[in-house]
Amino acid sequence: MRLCLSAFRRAGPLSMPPFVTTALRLAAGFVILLVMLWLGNFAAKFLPLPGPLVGMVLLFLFLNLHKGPAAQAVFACGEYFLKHYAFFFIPAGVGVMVYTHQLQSSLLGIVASLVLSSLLSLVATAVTMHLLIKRRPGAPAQKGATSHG
Amino acid sequence: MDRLFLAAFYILLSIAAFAFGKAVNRWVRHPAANAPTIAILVVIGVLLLSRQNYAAYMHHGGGVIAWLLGPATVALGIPLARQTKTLTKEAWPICAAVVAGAVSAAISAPLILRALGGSHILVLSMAPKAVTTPVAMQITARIGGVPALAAVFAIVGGAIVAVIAEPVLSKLRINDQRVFGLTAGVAGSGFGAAQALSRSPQAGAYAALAVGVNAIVTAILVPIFWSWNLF
Repeated sequence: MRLCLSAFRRAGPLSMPPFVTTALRLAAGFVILLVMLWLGNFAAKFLPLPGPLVGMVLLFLFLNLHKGPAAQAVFACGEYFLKHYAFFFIPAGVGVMVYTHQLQSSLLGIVASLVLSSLLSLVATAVTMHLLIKRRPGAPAQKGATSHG
Repeated sequence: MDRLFLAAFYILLSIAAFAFGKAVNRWVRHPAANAPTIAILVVIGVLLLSRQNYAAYMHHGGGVIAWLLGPATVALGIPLARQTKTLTKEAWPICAAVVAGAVSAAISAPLILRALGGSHILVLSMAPKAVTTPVAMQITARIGGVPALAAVFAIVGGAIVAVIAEPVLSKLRINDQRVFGLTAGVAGSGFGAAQALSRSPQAGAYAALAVGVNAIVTAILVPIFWSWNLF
């Protein structure tokens, strides 16, 4: 069995053109993301948390337990999603066109709420972190952040 | 055939609008002119000009993009997993700071809006605005708000944080990259994270971590505050 697998691994990528292996890897990563989402949605029936968020936590646990080819596939596909992350909430945002009247009627309140709460949240987070963290120059830089929203 | 054509048109329109938004953002280099906001305005403009409604857009193509938001949200586990070491090393300050930021945003935003006369629906949609957009939509749906409004509040709120984070922290005389990253990520989700990443990779890493942890904390807190009739 193990021999078979290693033979497949050695022969597989060589016998296929690179774009096919890339496509297969992306597809495998997408399937894993969908499985996590499905598990998350299922678990969300018993938890007070949204399904995709539970899926995110499950993926986090999965990537900490497993570092093999499946993780590489998730990284390959996930990077693509994260790079264009904000694209996927365009349809939701377009939905405001249905609520323009509501938004206009309390524009001042909305703007004041967004600005003041952002200010408050910034100060609360920064001061708490600043007081608790040890004051030393940070560890070497690591990469990884989402692009938007 | 017509249906497929229309779906292809709306998907291509969304992609083109997003590409246009990214190009404008590269040109203007200001968080207020961010890609999703521009893309949303372009799509709304085209829909209004062609006398189409939102339901038609969602039915033909828009729904497909919206469905992909699920796996995109799950993918947020990747930057979080990359920061496992940081998270375990500084678990206590990070969690305390995220909870402080999450509580202050989730209480102040809806209460200020209510005090200034916002309707109940708006107030409920405002509660999770500091969280990353798709999670904000999910949280709002759970407490009876409107996901579309939550999405717009999260996007605009994130852009505001991206603008004010730097001046506020320099006023507080805090220039630790870790604090800057974490703060921008908690208050401004992905927009804050993008801003932090432009300052330094370390700030970007802490911001990515903050976005994930804040999503979990706020998703737990907002329904609890709501059940206390706080909003």
